[in-house]
Amino acid sequence: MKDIPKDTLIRASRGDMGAFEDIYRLSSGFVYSVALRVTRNRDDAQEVTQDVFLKIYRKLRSFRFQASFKTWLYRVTANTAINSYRRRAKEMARSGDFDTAIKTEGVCEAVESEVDQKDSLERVNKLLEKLNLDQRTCIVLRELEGLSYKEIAKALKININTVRSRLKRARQALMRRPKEGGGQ
Amino acid sequence: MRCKRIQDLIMSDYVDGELKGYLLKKVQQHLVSCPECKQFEQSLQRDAIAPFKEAEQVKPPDSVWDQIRGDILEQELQRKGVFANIKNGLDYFLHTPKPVLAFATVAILIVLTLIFARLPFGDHNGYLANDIELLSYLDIDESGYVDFGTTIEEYLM
Repeated sequence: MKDIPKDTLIRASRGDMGAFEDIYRLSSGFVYSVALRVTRNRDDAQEVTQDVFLKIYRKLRSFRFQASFKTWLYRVTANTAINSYRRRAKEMARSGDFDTAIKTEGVCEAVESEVDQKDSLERVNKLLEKLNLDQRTCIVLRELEGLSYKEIAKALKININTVRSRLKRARQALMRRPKEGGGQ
Repeated sequence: MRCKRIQDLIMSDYVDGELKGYLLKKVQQHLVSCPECKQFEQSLQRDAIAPFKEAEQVKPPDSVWDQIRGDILEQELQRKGVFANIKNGLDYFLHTPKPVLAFATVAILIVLTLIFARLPFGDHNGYLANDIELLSYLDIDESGYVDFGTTIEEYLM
């Protein structure tokens, strides 16, 4: 995600709609990408994106510019996406098999609509399906968005060793023939 | 360093560029000398790292921004509506003609005076009632003769 100029943030905090749109253009790709990968549903991802930016708009007036705006955005995005996924999972669990439902809807729509990107998107989605929510969130933030361990830890409010551990387990799950142990 | 420990580091800090200094050197040296760990690292890159590097970032449809902007404008209108009502109320009060305001103020003062005039000295009604009772009891006539009431009272007096 590109850095957002402080001047833009200040103008947006004063109600400048043009500045807020600039913020949206610079960061919506990140927000939507994380939301889509975590929720694995296009409609939910769009709703998450809307929720995130409405929250930002409301809270920007009281933002003190002491903490990094990026860190704040990462946290809001991750939390909103995770909550959305959990809510959907509960609804699906009440109505039927969640895993079956999530494999047949949503993500496939996102893939089919992007012809040029189809192969890489499909491949990424198939990989992410192997992971649980915690692992998937960490992998998305690390591999797709390039966040450091420290940034991921701050965004998810977890220990940095927990980040390390989740990434390790996620990669073990993704490897075709995970190897453990071995000779000296 | 054992291969298990090296592979743990490869799966996390090493592949993420978080490894520095002594440990980084150790892992690099081990990978040169251990074919098994070297193969492990290549499998990791192929299966778990490269696919994500090749993925292009997805962008939200334009309708998402339209919805956000619409919601914000609606919130702003509602917010301004509340403040507008408060401002209208103040404007009405401040711009009311002075004679009317003066009349209203006087009326309020009169009502307050009446209320407070009756309050603080105990049971005012009772006090008046006592006065009335005494006056009727005394029944002072024109000659100044004080009628103390019945013959019994007259007898006692």
